[in-house]
Amino acid sequence: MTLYKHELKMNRVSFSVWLVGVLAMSAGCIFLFPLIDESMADMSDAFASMGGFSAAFGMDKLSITTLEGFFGTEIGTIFALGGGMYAALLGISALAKEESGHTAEFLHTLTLGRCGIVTGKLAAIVTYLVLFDVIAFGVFAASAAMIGETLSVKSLIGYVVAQFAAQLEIASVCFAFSACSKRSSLGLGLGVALVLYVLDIIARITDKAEFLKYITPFSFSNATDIFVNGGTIETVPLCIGICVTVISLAAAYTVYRRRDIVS
Amino acid sequence: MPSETGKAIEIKGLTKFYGTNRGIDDVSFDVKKGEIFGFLGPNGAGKSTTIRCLLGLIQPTGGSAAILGCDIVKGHREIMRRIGYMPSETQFYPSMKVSEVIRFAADVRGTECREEAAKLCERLKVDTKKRIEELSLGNRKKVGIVCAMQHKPELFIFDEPTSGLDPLIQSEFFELVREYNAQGATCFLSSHVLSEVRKYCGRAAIIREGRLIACDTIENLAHTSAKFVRLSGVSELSLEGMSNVERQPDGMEFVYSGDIKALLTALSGCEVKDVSIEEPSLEDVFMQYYD
Repeated sequence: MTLYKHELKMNRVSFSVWLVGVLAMSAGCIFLFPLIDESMADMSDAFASMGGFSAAFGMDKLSITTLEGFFGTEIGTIFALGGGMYAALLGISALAKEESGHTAEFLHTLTLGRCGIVTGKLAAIVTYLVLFDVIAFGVFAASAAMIGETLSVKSLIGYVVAQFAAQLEIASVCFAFSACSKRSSLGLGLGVALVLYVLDIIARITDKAEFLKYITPFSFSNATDIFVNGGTIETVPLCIGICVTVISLAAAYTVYRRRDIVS
Repeated sequence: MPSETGKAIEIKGLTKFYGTNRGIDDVSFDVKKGEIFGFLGPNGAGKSTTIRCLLGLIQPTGGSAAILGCDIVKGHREIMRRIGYMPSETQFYPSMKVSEVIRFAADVRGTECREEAAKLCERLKVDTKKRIEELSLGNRKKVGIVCAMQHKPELFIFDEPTSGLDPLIQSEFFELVREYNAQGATCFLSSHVLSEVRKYCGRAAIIREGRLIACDTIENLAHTSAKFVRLSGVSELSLEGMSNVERQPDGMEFVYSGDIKALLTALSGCEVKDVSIEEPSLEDVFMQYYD
């Protein structure tokens, strides 16, 4: 519990910066919606008929002239990408930062044990991701209400839950990398998040690459799909994502328990 | 369950290789409970590798060791609960205040030791209000000493504890070690400062190039048949058993551990102006082990 509290404290600044940054952009777009919805009415058909581009951003399924459509195609993408990058940074730095910051010797010679250290850090990551998504839910709902619009609560809950699952998967994969690494490779973390996002775009543009949707968590957490399906998350990719999360965390525990710690 | 013996540390054939690179090779020695034990060796000899194996930071590739009766692999958390460790290069979280670091170390251990921590901070002149990032190496080491001592462990493991400390704090540090030792604590002191080992330790082990080359009482380690030889008028003498050779334009000094008759015979054939043969200093004796 002491390490868990310590981790929460050490990460509170980066959490605040990412939360404010991502939510300011997302909420800002919601507040912009009343100003642009009329002008977009004429362009809606054009946006929906741009082939692969429309499919990539879900504009073939939802009309961007409604808030749900605008949220699904635009705001959902901003939040997913921001949340994914934040999750990646949380995961990739969690364990490796102790060695790169030369604090590993101090931490490992207390009474925590390797598993205790992994558990404490993982619990802090999960807590911050839950907070990130719960606050985001509140901000999205409140912002929509402030402009006199509504977002389906069921769809929004489904979207936020899917975002949490996707963020946890990305964080877990990066956490496993962190368990193997002596350095906080922030570039690697951001790279993982961006590559997974690009894989989702590719899977949506061409049928030949549809299998990629089973690899990237951005597929089952896609806002358009969830809002079109009334908050339901696609089961198979979600289950694969949960399996990847479990395997990554198991790998992190296994590797970190045996690995030599650099001072 | 730890098996209670009279030994604080038992090391049997401990070996650590980093791939093909030697860390330590077949190191074996014991540290008895209640003693202050020195662990000597030049830089890169394997002192820190041995300690890091004992603390579970790195996995040994061979051999075994026990601390306070607990196996270093299976009993890691129990060992950490009962020891206090201070690394040679102490680092803490830069943004934390000194008081927060000390409190964090105590809280993780689940021990209430504010009184002892306050006493240690006062004696070592630790400013608890400063942030770690504002501290010099010496001041960080003082925080490390407080973290290692505040929970009154049964065994201290110090890795080059005095580097970076001013003489007054060094003196205060050893005074604290003596006080805890008087209360029954064991101290394992890794150092390359011979004078502090000679002054404070009863026994010592010497490691060189990853191998243990001696382990005995300081008196026995210092006792040797070697002689310190100073010659005037001769600077080119070369005999088996010479070490620590220092040549000057018109003379030479060396420690000689070979056959004394061979030395005298060799000298009788030289243009020797003056000769003195004395007992070597402790430093010279230890240098023999290092060479």
